[in-house]
Amino acid sequence: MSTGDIIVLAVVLVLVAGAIYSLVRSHRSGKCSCGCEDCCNNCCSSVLKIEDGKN
Amino acid sequence: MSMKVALAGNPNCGKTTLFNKLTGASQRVGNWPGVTIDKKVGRIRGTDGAELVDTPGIYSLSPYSPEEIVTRNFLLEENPDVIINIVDATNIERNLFLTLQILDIGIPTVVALNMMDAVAKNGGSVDAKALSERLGCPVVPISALKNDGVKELIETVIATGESKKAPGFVKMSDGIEGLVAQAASELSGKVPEKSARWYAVKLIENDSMVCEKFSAERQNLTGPITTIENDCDDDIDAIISDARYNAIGDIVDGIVVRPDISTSEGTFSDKVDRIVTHRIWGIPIFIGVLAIVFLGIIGFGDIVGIGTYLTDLLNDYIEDPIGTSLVQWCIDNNVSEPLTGLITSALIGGVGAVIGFLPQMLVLFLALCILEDIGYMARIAFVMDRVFRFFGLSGKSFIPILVGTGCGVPGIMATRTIESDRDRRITAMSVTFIPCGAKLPIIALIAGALFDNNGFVALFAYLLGIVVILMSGIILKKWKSLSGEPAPFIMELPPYHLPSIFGVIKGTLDRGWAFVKKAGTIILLAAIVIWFLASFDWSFNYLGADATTESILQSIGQGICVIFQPLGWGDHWELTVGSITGLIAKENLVGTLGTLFAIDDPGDAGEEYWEILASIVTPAAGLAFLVFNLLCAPCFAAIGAMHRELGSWKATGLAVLYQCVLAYAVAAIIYVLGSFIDGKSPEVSGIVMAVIAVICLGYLLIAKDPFLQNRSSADKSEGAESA
Repeated sequence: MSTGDIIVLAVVLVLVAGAIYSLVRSHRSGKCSCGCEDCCNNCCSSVLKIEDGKN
Repeated sequence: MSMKVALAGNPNCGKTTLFNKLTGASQRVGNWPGVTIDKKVGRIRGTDGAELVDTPGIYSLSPYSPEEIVTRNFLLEENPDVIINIVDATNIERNLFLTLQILDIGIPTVVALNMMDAVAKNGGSVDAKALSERLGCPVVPISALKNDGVKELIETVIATGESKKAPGFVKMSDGIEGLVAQAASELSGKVPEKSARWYAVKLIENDSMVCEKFSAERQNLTGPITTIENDCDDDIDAIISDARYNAIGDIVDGIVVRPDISTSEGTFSDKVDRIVTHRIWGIPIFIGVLAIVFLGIIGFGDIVGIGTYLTDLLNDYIEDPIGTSLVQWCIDNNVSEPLTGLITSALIGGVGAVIGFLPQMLVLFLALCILEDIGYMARIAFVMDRVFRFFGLSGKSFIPILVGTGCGVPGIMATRTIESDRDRRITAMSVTFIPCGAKLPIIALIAGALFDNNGFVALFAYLLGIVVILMSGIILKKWKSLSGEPAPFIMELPPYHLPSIFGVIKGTLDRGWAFVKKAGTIILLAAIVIWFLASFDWSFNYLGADATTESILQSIGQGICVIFQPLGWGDHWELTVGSITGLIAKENLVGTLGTLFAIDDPGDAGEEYWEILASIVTPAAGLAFLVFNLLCAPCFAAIGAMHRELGSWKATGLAVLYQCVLAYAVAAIIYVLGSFIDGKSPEVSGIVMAVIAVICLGYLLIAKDPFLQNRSSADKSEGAESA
C-alpha cells in the first residue's frame, strides 16, 4: 500500500466519519434526519429547544 | 426558577419575527399565516434565562385546527408566568378579539402593539397609554421587524412577570356579565380561581372542550342562556362575539386614528391585489410569474439563464482544475486503481454532480424567498382557492403546498393547519407531488441534458405537480374515508412590503447551506456505497473503470429495470438504481447517476455527464423519467412525516402505493405522447400501459362520487324531517 493510498483512505474515512457524526448529531438534536435545515424547525415530533440564540 | 413567557397572537402578526428578535434564534418566518405549526422554545437574551415559547397563531381561544389546540392547551395547562400578546396595530380590532379572551385567563399579560411603523407610515396612530388603561394591562408599541421598542418590551415583560399582577378584564353588556357571574359561581372550586372568568365565558359560549368537562354545570345554565338567546334572537356564541366586538369598539374609540385611505381606491396592496388576485387574470399572472422565474434562471433557446451560466462555470471548475488535479495527484502518488476510482467516481462524479447545481439552486431559492417575502405567495393561495374548491379541495391545502416547495417534510407537517380531517389527510398524501428543493437538481439535470437548458421544463414540473394534486383531490374524495365537502377557507392577505434584504439573503443561504450539508453527508455516503456496489462483483473483485456490466449493482438493477420498460428507460439499469437511491434523498438520484456514469467514463462531470444521459434516453423517455421521480414516493424523511400525520403505517403504505402507481401511470402517458410529438415510436408496452392509464385515470376522474349521492340523500332526508 503506497503513501498515496494511505492518505486517500484517511481522507475518505474522515469524510465518512464526519458525515455520520453530522447525521447522528442532527437526529439527536431533534432535527430532521434528512439533513434539510429548512424543515428541521417543524418536523421533529418534540418541541425544538433553542438555547442562547443557537438552534 | 426562571420565568416562562408565552408569545401568543393572531396568525401572521409577527410572532416568529419577535421570537427571533427576543431570542436571537433564526426560526423560519413567512409572509403568510400558518408558518408556525408547533410551539418553539428559546431563551430571551439579556434576561436571567427567561424562557420564551412561540405558539401557533390563533384568532380565538376556541380552536378548530390541531395547531390552534397546541396554543390553547399551552396557555391554559402549562401556566406561563407572563403572556406576550402580540397585536397587529394595522388591524387592531380583530386582534383585540383574542386579547380580550387572553385577559380572561388571568395570567399577567403584556400587549405588544406590533407594526406601529406601518401605522405611522400610513398616517395613523394608536394611543398606547390610553389603550393600556382601558385593557388593564401594559401595552408596548413595537416594530419587531425594525427592532423598535423590543428592549422596552423585554423590561416590561420581566417587571410584569415579577409583579405577578393579574390583568384586568374587559366587561361586556350587563346581561352577559350577570350570566358570566352565574357560570363562575357554578364552576367555583372546580377550575383555577384566576382563570374562572375564562372558563365561565367559554362554558356559556358552548365551547366543546369546556362543555364536555363541565356538562352538569352547563346544564344548570341552559335556562338563563335560552332566555338571552330568545331576547337577542341569536345563538349564544354569536351574542358573546357581538358583545366582545362592542367592547372592542368602546376600547378603541378615540384612541385609534385610522390611516387616511380613500375607501374607493384602498391601499397600495388593495390596488395590486385587484390585478394579481383577479378572478380571470390571477392564474395566468401566477403562471407568468413562475415562467419568468424559471426562464430567467434556467434559460430558453439561445438565452442562457443566470443560474445555468453560474452552474456551467462551477461544473467546469469541478472538472478542471479540481478533478484533473486530484487524478494527477493520484498518479503522482501511486494511488491504487480502486482508490483512484473512488475519488473520480464517488467524490467528483457523485458529490460533484450534485454540488454543480448549487448556483442554480441558490438563484431559484433567492427568487422564491423574494416572492414569499413581498407577500405574493399568500396571493397565490388565495387565487388557487377557487380552483382547489372546484376540484374538491380546500384552498387551505395550498399553504402546505407552498411550504412543500422548500421541503416536503414541513409541507406535510403544515397540513396541521387544515381543520377538516379529510382535507388534511388528502393534502398530506398529495403535497409531495409539488417539486421540493431536493427535486430541483433532477429537473435541472433533465432540462440541461435533454432539453437544451429549457426553463419550460421546470415550469412544466411545477404545473404538473399542481395538476396531479387537483386530480388527487377528485380521485381520493371517492374513497369512503376521505369523502366530504371541502372546508371553508378564510385567509387574511398580508400587506405587500419590500423584501427584507437580510431575511431574503438569510433564507437563501439557509436553504443553500442545507443543500451543501446534504451533499456532504447523505449524498457522500450514498455515493461511496453506490461506487462500491458498482465497482465490485459478488466475489468482491474490483472490476475496473468500465466494468459496471458485471457488478453487484448491475445485477440487482438489471433485475428491476424491466418494470420501467413501458416508460422508455427500462434498458438502463443506472436510471432504475438512481430512482431507488432517490428515496434516501431526491438529490441522490443525480449523485448516483454521476457516480455510475463517472465509473463508465472517469473524469466526466457536468455537461459531459449530461451528454452520456442524452445519448441513452430520448427526450420523451427522459421526461417520463423526470415525471416518475417527481411524483413517486418521496424520500424516507417525508414518508416518516406522512406517517406521523396519517397516524398508521397501513394508511402511509397505501398513500405511498397510490403515489407510485399514479406516478407510473402519468409517466407512461407522457412518454407515449412525448414520443409521438417527437416523431419517434414509443415502446409497444408503453402504448399498452398508457392506454390502460388513460382509461383508469379517466374513469376515476369522471365517475360520479358515490358518497356525494349519499350525502345529498342524507341532506334531503334531514330537510324533510325538519319540515
